[in-house]
Amino acid sequence: MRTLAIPWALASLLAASLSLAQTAAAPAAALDGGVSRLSRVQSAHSVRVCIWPDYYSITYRNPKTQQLSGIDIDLAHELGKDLGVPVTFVDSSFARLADDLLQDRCDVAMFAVGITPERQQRLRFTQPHLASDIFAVTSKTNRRIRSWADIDQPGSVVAVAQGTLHEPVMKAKLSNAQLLVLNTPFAREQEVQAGRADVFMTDYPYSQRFLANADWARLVAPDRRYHVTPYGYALAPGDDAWHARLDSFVTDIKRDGRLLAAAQRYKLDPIVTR
Amino acid sequence: MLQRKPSWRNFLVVLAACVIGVLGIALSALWALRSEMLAGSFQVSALMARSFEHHLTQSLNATTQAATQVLAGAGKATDRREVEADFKRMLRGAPHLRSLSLINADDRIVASSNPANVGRQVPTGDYLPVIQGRQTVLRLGEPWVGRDFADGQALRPGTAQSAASTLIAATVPLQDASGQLRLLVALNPDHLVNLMSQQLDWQTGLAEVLRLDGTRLLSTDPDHRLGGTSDNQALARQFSELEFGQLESDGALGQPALTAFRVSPLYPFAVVTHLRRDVALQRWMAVVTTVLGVLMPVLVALSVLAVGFHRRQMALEAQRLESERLQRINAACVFTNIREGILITQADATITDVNDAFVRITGYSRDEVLGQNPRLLSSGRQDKAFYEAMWRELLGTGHWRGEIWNRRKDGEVFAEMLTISAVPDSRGQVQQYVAIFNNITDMKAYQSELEHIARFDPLTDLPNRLLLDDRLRQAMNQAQRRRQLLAVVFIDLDGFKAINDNFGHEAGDQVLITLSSRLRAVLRDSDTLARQGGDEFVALLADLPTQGDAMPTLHRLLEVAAQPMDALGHSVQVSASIGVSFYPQAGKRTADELLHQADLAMYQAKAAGKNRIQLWSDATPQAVTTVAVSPALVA
Repeated sequence: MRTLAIPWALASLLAASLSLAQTAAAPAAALDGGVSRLSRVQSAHSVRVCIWPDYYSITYRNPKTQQLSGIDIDLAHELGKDLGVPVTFVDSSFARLADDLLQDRCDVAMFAVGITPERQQRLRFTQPHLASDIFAVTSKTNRRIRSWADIDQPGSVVAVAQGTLHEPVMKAKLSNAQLLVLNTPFAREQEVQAGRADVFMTDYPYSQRFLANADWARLVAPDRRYHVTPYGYALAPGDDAWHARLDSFVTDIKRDGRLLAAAQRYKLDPIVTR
Repeated sequence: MLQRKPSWRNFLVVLAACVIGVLGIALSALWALRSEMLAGSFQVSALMARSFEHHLTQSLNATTQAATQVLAGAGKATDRREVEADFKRMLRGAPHLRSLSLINADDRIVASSNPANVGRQVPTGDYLPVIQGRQTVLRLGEPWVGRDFADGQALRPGTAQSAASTLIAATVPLQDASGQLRLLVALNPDHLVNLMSQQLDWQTGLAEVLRLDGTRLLSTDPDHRLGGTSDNQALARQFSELEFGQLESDGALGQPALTAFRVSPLYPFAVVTHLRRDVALQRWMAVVTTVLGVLMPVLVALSVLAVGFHRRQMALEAQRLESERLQRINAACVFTNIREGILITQADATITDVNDAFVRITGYSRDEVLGQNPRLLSSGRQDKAFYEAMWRELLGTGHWRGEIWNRRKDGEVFAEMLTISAVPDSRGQVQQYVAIFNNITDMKAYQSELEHIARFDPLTDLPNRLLLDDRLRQAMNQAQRRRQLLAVVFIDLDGFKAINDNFGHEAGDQVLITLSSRLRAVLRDSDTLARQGGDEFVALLADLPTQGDAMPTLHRLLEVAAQPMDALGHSVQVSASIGVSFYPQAGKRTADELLHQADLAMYQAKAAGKNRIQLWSDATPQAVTTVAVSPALVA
């Protein structure tokens, strides 16, 4: 496998690795002398929630109206309600996720964060509330990609967003195709649309919502289970009280139907984890 | 029946005209709709060509502008990293671009958004428009096979077409000091194909972009050959004269298509759209199917109904004509062949028709009486009052029936039984009179003969006892009215039985006939002689001033009765005994009493010796006057 990293993507990767090195050694520092975030959230009367505003159906900010929508926006508000505090959304991305949590820019990342071994090494996760396989999106006029098997072929170019779970998964899985790792907003779509890449890899929520609004795009679904990843909420490691509170929140929304109701609003009920 | 054939023909002509008319209107409307739909589809085709052309022109224009501005100062090799970063920024949000590169005078790429392109030589000498010297406008190259210049090659005749990716090369002049560098643009055909396919799927038609020399740069049909093709040459020749146009062709689609093209106002390409004509007319075909599917059965049903209705009308008409004909035949037949005379007049009694029986009965020919008044038949036997009464009844009741005497042409008068009927029209106004009559002259003659037989004695033709009775009463009335005497004379022959016995009844009858005429001859016309039966006769002598005035006649009667006569060759002689009574008498007397008195007097005459006259007297019945006759007469 050959990795093509265009310079700005490379730079971001480098930055991410650096921050990883910094924060790995100081998880306790973030705890601020053993005080749980739970108490701090209560005393600050605000819960800071990290989101990725490009994430269709999960945490999406409409660029025209600046309105936030998605299942995790709704559930973040539910969390705020349960905690009795207002929610403050903090823009993040999969590339910046670990930094934002570890450097205490937010209390929790609520944007369907794939629970991967790599991330588990640095972050703590609640129990999963969604689980999605990987899907590919190509252009309708693309003549190279007709089925899932066409993706990993010589000459194919596969785009992924930097920091997403797709980056390490595809890096591991692709043996013939060329991987293009991108980190500017909507760069995956642009590369595919301009014909510089053949497909970009994404998950169920993103692909569903994206295909509903891009008339030039076409979904390529795996023939069989390809790589299902559970999605949960991420927080900085340690802080058992905060983790317990968040985990019980997930239990609560599963039990009282708030999760399913929110999922149905965004047509995500097929991937809800019970 | 004669009217029937032309009537059917007329009906069928009208029906056919109606059907053809309706079909004609429907078909012309459908044809107009077809033209309208084709025009509409042409318009759609033209609109799409315009829209695609505009999109591509604007995209190229924006890229040209941006590149020109960004690279205004680029020309120095040291800036190339910066240039490449600029290129990458330009590619964002520009999906019609695959890559941007700088190319030098030797057609070699010196900087590119795709580092792999650098160093690659891209011959641009034959790009359109061909320019010798410094490039001033955008020039379009040929399609390339491959994702980018790095891994691609220009499409030349004979190159395999099955490549997954293609691009279109174009060069744009830059305002650099050296004048050596140009921008080499790799256009992404997929973007435009995608855009065009969304509005024009392969089932409806296709769109393609042609360089002005006819080279096909891209097409929505993935199987279309790119590059120089012969099938667009004819169309390309129009580009130099026409900026846009539309035509029916079947080149690109292999079937009739509505083709529209539009040439870019800035760059050397044209967008051509082809709409399948059968698809454009699909809705029209559906309308045609529906309209004809509904219209045809309706027309057939209406035609069948109309034919059925007409046939019924024809049958009724034929029936009516037939019944009228039969009516006419019957009437004419009756009119001609009936034994009764028929005369038809108008309301003013002018004769309009007569039948053969009329001609036979009256002796007038038909032509002689037409236009005449029926009074020419008048015999004059009926007076004015008769005719007035007849007309009164006719006008009052509508008919008149009775016997009337008319005169034939030869003057003979004849009796007829006549029935006149007034014939009114629907409003009750008399239109004509119909008279039917029989000649009953013979019947009337026979009737009077019967009457004669009843009242006269067949042997002697003298009034019989019945008529005598009648005459006697009349005479009695007359005698009383005139204050004259009436003599009732009973005559009985003496010795008549001996003639019967000796010579037979025929001889006796002969004697009676002879005596009758002799006795009759003695009497006046106003007197009556009747045969009472056997050898008895009764005579009535009227208008006698006195009894004595009867005596000469009575003696004459005795005289002629006693004269000898011949009876079947035998000379015979009889005499008469005569009894007479007179009327009026003192006291009321009936006819029978008068006859009885005369009868009694006759018996007295017989008793007194026959051949004498005995007058009856009521004072002394025995003292009747016996008038003796000479003994010689009593033999």
